[in-house]
Amino acid sequence: MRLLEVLEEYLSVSLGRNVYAIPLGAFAASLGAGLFGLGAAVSQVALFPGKIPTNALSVSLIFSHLIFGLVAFSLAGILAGELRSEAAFHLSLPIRREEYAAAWLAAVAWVPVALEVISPLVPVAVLDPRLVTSVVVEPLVYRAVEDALVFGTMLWVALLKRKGFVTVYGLAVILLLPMLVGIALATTGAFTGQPTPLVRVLRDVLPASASAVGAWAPGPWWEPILVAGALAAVTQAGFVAWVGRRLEVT
Amino acid sequence: MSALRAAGALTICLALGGFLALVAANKAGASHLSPVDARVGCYASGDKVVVIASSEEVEVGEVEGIRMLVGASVPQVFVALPQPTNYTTPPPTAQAGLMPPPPPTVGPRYVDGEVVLVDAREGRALGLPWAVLSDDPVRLAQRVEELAAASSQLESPRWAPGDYLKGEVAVPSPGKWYAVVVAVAEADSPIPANATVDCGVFLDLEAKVYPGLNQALRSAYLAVAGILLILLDRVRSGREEWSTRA
Repeated sequence: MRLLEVLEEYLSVSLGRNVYAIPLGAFAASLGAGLFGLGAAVSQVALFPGKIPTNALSVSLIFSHLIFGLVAFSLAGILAGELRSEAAFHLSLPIRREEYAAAWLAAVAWVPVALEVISPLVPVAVLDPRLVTSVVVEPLVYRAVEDALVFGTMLWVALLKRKGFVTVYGLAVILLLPMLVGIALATTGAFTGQPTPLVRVLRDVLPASASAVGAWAPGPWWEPILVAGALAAVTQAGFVAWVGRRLEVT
Repeated sequence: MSALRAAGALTICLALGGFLALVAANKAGASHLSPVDARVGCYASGDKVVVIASSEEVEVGEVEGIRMLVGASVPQVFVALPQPTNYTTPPPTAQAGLMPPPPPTVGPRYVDGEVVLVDAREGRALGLPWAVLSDDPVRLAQRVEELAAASSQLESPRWAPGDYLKGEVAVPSPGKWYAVVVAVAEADSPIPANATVDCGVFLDLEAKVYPGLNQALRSAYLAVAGILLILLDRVRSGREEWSTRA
């Protein structure tokens, strides 16, 4: 309970009005879900009762990923600025370094990841709450574990204390990553021949981007969740450990 | 900015975003789901051509806030007039060793068109969809009109020769249905009995989001929950301020 109070108090000071980026992102993501494929998705359920088709939901998820990717790297930029100037002040308050790191993990990774998955489902739930049980869970989990990893790496870049680096890195991973994955797969002939080991590695590390460009590799559906999830956990735990023990503030 | 206030703002944004998403999906138009196979018959009589088509049995489910539609598109009718035969002199193209020209065609203009939905049980009793290939399309069209559960007029851009017909009808309730299209085209002069009439009808199943009262109420509940969270935050901060002063 104390941890939650500390996180709330610290973030309310540190983020201030910037925290409104999160609700606005959720608004844009749920609105985008209506424009990109909601009608087709739920109509398919009316026609063929069962699951909402994966491809219809993927379009909404990509839009939601773009929105919350921008939110995440904007907030990571605030951390970079704070580490450069006033982190010593914040850390002189009664807050442990691990709590400080957890507060930023919540703001940059956990909340955006949770909302980027929930926001496209809100219009579905408003339309007919029973439809929520028809949603295919797999693409949602793939997107969540991939972004838990990607947003976690943004925090590591923020430790360089340069807003510019965070912006360039954030834009690259949010906008260019799916294209780079596609080019990497195309150069190995992944779309024409048999799936190569590279396809499998990319599918396991970046499952949502790989499936967005149409890459397929043999293997159980839970394998990417395990691999990307483990990498995300290591990245985030490493960030907390680094801030707790090694971070030097000025 | 406390967490409670942020959660309230988030809930309000999700409520508004969710409802506006449905409005946006409605404005975006109908989604094409799948084409529907149809049997088509064309019949010429005097200067009129009757085009009648019936879909296979179509089954639609129910989703709140979604209206299923059957879209119909009727391309122009072609009437190929019999080619005059002259055995004494071959046509100039044949003399030159080329293929003979296609027979002359006339494109009658549509004067009326309708798409009708008939309940599957009554449609089967009528013999749909194969009944459209029977010899009495006018009687079938009359029976279909009597049994129609829903119908809609088809529209043409200018009702001129060469124009097509297009339209859609809303499926009244979930279940099994036959969609029947009846269109009448008129030529400038009587069509010879040995003329070839060529026509076609395309049917497809569409769906459109129609947010109604239930959806508005659900969004309102969410928005009210958000407002309550913000009010709770104000009460809490008010009490904290009071206790600090005391």
